[in-house]
Amino acid sequence: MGKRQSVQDAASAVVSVVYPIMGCIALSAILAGAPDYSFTCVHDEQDERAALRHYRPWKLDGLLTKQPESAEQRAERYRLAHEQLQRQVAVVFVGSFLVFIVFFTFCVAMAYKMRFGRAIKAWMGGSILLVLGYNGGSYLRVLLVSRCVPVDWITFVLLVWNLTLTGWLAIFWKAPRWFNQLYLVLVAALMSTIFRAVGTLATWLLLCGLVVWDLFAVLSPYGPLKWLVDIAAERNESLPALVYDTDPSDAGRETIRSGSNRVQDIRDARPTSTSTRRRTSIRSHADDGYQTLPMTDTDDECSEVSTDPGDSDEEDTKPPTSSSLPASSQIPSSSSSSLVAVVSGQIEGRADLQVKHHLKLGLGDFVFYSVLTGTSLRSGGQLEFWVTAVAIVFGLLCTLFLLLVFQKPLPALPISLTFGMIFYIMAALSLRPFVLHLFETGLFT
Amino acid sequence: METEQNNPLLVSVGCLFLSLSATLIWGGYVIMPRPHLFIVATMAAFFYCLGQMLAAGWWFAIPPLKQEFAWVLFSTVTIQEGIRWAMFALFNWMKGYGEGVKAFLRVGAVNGLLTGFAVGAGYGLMSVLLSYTSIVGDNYWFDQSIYMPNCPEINFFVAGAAFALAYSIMHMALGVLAWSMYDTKNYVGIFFTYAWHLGISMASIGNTNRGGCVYTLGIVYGLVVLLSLCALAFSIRFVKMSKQVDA
Repeated sequence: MGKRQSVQDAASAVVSVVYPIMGCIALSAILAGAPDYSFTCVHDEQDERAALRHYRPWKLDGLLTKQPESAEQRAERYRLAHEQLQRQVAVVFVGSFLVFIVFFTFCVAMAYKMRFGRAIKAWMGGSILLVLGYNGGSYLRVLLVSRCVPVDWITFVLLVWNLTLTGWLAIFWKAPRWFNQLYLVLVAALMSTIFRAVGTLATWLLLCGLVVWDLFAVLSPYGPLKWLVDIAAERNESLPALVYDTDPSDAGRETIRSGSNRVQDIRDARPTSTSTRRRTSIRSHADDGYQTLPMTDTDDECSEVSTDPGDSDEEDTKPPTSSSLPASSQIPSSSSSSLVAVVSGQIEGRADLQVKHHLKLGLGDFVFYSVLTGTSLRSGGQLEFWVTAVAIVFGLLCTLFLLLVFQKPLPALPISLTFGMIFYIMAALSLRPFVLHLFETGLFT
Repeated sequence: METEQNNPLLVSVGCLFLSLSATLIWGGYVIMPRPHLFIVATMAAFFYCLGQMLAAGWWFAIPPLKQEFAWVLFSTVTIQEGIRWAMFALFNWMKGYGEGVKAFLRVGAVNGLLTGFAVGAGYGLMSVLLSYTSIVGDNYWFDQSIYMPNCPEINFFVAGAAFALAYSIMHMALGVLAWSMYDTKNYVGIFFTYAWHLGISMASIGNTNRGGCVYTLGIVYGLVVLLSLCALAFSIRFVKMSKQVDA
C-alpha cells in the first residue's frame, strides 16, 4: 500500500508539471496568433472577414485548388520576404542575447554568493511588473480593440494595474497555490511571445545555444548554476529561484524555519503497526543541492508521521509541504531556471518515512518550451506545432526518468529542445507532404 | 437562412469536436484521472509521430510507389504496428530500472488493458491531430464550403472529421487488443490485430473512387464497431480468465 502510494505520488508529481507546461504552450500559441497591432476594429462584414484572416497567424496554402497569384498577393509576398531578411539580421542580436544570459547568470551567482539576495529579488520583482504590465497590457489592449470593446484609458490602466499587482503579489508574496501557478504560467507565456519579433532563424540559433549553455551551466563544475546550488547547499538555504512549485500548499504560507527544515504536514501516511505519531525533523540531501526522488522506498521505509499531534485523526486532508525549500524566491528566469528539482523529505536517521513528492521546475523551461512551439507554429504550421509540443513533453518525461535513475540534478532544456527541434525539422521536411498526400486522396491509417 | 458559408466557424468547431470526440471523452474519463496512464498516452503520442515520420521517409525513399495507395497504406500500417511493438519492448526493458518506473508501468490484467488503452488513445489523438485537425486548421479553417470531386455528397471536412473519428476509435480498440497480445505472446492475436488495422486502412482506398466516400464511411464504421465489440469482449474475457488464474 505504501509502495503503491509512493509510486502514485511520483506519477501525480510528474503530471502536475506536465499539465502546466501544456497549458503554457497552448497559451503562448494563442497569444502568438493574436491580432497584429496594425489591426483596428471594424464593423463592416467584409472587413470582418478580412480581419478574421488577419487573426490567423499561419500560412495560407492553396491545398485543393491552386489560384493564380494576384498583384496584391505578390506584393504581400515581397513584403514578407523583406521582413524576413530584416529579421535574419537579428541573428547578430541573438548572439548578444546569449552573451547577456551567460554574463547575467554569473552575476546572479556572484550576487548570491555575496548575499545580495534582496537585489536579486528586487530585480526579479521589477521584471515581473514589466512583463505583466507592459506585455500583458499590450495583449489586453489588442484584444479589446479587435473585439470592439469600448474601454476608456482610465479603466484600462486601472485594470492592467490591478492584474499586474495581483500577479506580483501572487508570485512574490502570499496566494493560493493554484493562483500562484496560474500567474507563473501567464508570465512564462507572455515572456515567450517576446521572441515573436525575432526572426525564425535567430530563434533556432538561440535555442541551440541555450541547449549547450544549459548543459554547461548545470552539469559542468564551472557552471554558474552548479555553483549556485553548491552555495545554497553549504548554507542550507533555499535557492533563489523563480520556479513553478507543484507543492499544493499555499504560496508564501509555508512555516518551515530556516536552518532546520521541518515537514509541516505529511498527507496520508501509511499506517504502521505503531500508531504513534511524532514530530520529526527532516534534513534534506544538502550535498546534492536539489533533492532527488528516493524511488527505492520500500515498506520498511514508511511510517506515518505528523508534526502536529492534534492532527493525528486527520487523513488525507492536509497538503504536503516542501521539506527542504521554503517560500519561493526568485532568480532571473533567463539564466538558471532550467533545473528540475524533485523535492522530497527524508527523515534524518529514520528509514520509515513516506512522504509526498512534488517537483519544482524553473520558469525558464516554460518560457523556452513555449518559444520553440511558437516558432514552429509561425514557421511551419499546426502540424509542426503539435509534433513539436509532443516531442517537448516527451523530452521532459525522459528528463524526469533520468532524474529517477541517476539521482542527480539535471537540466530540463536540452533533451526537450533537442527532441523538439529534430521533430520540427522532420515534420516540416517529410511528414507534412506525406500527410497532405494522404489527406488529399482521402486515405487514413 | 444561415448556411455553412455564413457560419464557417460553427462548421469548423463542429468538425473539430466531431473528430476529437472519442479521444477527448475517453481520455477525460479513463486517462486523466490516472496520472500514470497520461504519461503512457503521451509517450504513445510521441511514438506515433515517430512512426509517421518513418513512414514518410519510407514514402519518399521509393518515388515510383508514392502513388500506389495500397503500398503506402501497407508500409504505413506496418511501421505503426512495429512502433507499437517497439514501445511494448521498451516498456518491458524500462521495468528493470526499479520501482520508479513502476510509477508509470503497472502490472496486472486490468492495468495491462488500461495501459494498452492509453497507448491506443495516444495513437488516436495524434492521428486526428496530424491527419485532420492540423491540415484543416492550417488551410481552410474559415472556409468550409469545400467538396471533393470524388465526394460531392458530403462536405469534405465533415467527411474528414468522421473518418478521423473512426480511425481514432480504431486505434483505441487496437491498443487494448494488441497490448494484451504482446503481453501474453499470442502471435496469432498479434497478427489478428495487424490484419484488422490493415483492413480498416485499406478500406479508405474507396475514397479514391468517385462518389466512394459514402460507402467507404459505412464500411469503415462497420469495421470499427465490430473491432470495438471484439476488443470489449476480449477485455472482459481476459480479465475473467486472469481472475480465475489468480484465484
